[in-house]
Amino acid sequence: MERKAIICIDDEPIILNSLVEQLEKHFGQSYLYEQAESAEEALEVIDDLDDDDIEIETIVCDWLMPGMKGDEFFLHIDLKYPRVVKILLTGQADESLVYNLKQETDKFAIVHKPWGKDELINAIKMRLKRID
Amino acid sequence: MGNFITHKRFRRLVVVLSLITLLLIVFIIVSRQAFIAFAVIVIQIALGLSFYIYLKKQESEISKYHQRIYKLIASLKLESHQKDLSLQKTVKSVEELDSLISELEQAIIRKTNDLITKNSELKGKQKEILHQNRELVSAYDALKESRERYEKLVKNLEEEYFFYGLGLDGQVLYVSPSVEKILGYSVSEYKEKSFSLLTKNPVNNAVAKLRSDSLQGRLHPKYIVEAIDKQNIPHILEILEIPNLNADKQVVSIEGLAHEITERYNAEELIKEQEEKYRQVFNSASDFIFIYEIKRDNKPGKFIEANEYTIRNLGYGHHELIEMTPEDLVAAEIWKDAYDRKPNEKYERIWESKDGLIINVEISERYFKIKNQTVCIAVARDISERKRVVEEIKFMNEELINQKENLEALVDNLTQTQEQLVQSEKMAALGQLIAGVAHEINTPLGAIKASIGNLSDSLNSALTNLPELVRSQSEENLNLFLSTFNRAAKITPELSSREKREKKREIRKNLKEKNIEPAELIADLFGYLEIFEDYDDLVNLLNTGESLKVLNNVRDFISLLKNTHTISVAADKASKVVFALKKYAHRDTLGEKVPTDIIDGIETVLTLYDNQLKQGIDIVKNYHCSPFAMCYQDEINQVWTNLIQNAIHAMHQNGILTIEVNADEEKIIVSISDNGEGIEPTIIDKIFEPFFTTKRQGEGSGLGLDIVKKIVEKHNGNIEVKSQLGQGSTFTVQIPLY
Repeated sequence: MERKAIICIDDEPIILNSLVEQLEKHFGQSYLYEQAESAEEALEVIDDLDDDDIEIETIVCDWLMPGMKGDEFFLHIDLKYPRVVKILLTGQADESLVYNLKQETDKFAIVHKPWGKDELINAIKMRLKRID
Repeated sequence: MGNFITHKRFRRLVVVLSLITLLLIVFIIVSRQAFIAFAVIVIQIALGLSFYIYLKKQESEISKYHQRIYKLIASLKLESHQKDLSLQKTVKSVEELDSLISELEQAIIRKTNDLITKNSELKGKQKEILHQNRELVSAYDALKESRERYEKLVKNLEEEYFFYGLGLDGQVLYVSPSVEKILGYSVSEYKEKSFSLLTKNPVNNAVAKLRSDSLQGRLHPKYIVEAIDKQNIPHILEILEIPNLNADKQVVSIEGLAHEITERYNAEELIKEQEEKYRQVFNSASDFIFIYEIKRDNKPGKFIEANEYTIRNLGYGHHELIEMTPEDLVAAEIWKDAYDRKPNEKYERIWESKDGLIINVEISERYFKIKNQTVCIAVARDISERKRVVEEIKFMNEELINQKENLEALVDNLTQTQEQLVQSEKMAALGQLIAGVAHEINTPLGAIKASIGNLSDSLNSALTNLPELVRSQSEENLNLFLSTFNRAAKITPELSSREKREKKREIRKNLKEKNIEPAELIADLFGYLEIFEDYDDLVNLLNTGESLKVLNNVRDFISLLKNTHTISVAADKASKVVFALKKYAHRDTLGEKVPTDIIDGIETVLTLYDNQLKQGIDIVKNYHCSPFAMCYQDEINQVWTNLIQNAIHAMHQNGILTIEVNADEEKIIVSISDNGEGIEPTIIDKIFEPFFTTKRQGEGSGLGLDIVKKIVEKHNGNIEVKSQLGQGSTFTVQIPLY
């Protein structure tokens, strides 16, 4: 059974846990769900998955984290993984910041915290379609 | 004096005669012989006669002196007209002498009468002779005393006066010996020197002319000369010279009387000098000084005298002024209060000078009497300038009061503005916080929202699968369910995602070794259920095809627990942020100091900045004391906000933020240190200035530290900064406890 991976990144365990569970409930056990508390950790996860030849389909990542920010992280991996669906979760209300991020929307989708389940799922699905 | 019978000789005669008489009387008594008695009488008569002759002679001598004294008196009386003090004294002395002499005269007449009577009585009253003799002796003593007094007087006169006579050729004909007492020259010396004794003093200039006048028979008043004595000491002499006329009314000589008046003259000169000084003062004074009469009705009368300043500044000549009264000077409009003043008290007047100039004066007066006439000496000071200055000062004062009021209003305004600035700075900081704070709230909200969805899904799934689990009634399945559920429900320490991943990998490997499939799914489920250790017994239970279903069933139930917990944690987190925000935004409208927990304030700020701090800043907290101090609660947190914000900025969100709180008996000391870039020494003095900022435009108003300083100062505290470039900065704030 060839499982694809979904990676969730957030420095807040409460987000991380509930987010993963939410996606798991929706997408079921046909996916491998990985979690990371920072972008740096996520890079390790990606390496591990690569080692195991597991394809990464989706990455949902918080924007504001210690160390590398979500958008930086996405731009960083985009070169190598352009076909991975990238969803940026942000709780930031700063208009100018959101505006700057929107300049990169061809590379990732932005979902605002607190997000609705359907909103997130639709964003992932739309991105998946776009990539296909 | 040589013409007198010397009293010694006379006394001796009297004593001899008296002794003889006594002897004879004794003899008479002893011998009772008439011829001896007769001899006594003869001797007595001789005695009386010789006495009488002596007295007569004395009398004629005295009358000679008398006449000379009268002459002197006459000349002294002449001088008494001069109201000369010392002369008056002399006159007094002369009068005294006069009375003395008349006393003496009377005494002599009385005594003479007495003697005559006694002499006639002698025949019958021989026994009284001794007694009379005694009286005579005492009379003589009185006479002697009088004589001595007289001699003293003459001597006194000799101290001051000498007489002389001048011939037509100016030769000194005679001079009284007293010249020696006055000038030190003997009579003969004086006769030689005379003229050459006159000094070069200008008073002597007129002597030649006056003397030639005298020689021509003209009378002239006394004059003064200065002559040097034998010791070259100058003397002032007052000279009275009278031409001596013969029967043909031709001048034969000049009779002169020189009176030594050096002392008096000098005193007069001194007075003159002083008077001149006073006059100088009077005239050179730059005040109006004048003297005027006070009339009987106490109203001001005419001017008597005025100084030059008065004449010059009023424009009236002296001759005009003496026809005016001080009230004539008063400018017409204030005439009405012209008399409302008390003597010897200062008062003000407005005068008008002759050319219409208005002069404000302040007048001090003093009344005094001259020969029964009350006069007033007044000093009037021109206070026009002072009046003007006073007016000016009054005006300036009003101006100052106005300015002060304006300033006070401005200060009020500024205080208000400052309060507004503090508030707006707070709001600006709050604005900057909003993004982060929104994140802080959105994060738990996101977790809650997702958890609620998860809860609902899990409940649905659990409720759907539960009947099947119950129905199957498989011992094994139930066992697996309960064992797994019990294990999962146990609270285990939260592991990091990395650790979880490691554990899951390990479980996966274990399961694969035991050929338990689907190893990946089961490992995922174990991971979710957080069963990472001692799972071998559980693994042993996994032997049926339904195991996965059972584990999923457990998962649904554990999901209820896990998501409920997540919601609770998230809600706590959210409310903590909201509470911090509420505390931060709180505005104390009372404006009073209240006991404030400083550490709580710092913690509030740290909560609000949590999302920025956790990016890469380690916080070291050293709290060493009770944190309470009297503060303006809503303002003091602004201080911590600014300092923490600056520290984060200085460290570029990466470094160590150290917060220390200490206290002593008087104050609480908070220091906030960063190990950021530090402050340039060139600007460190300016950082507390308003509008100074190192941030780019739009990032900071530059009011932060200015407001911090103002807030700290409002608490009577102080703030200091120490910084080293590249090492970081420490801001130390001291706030008094009360």
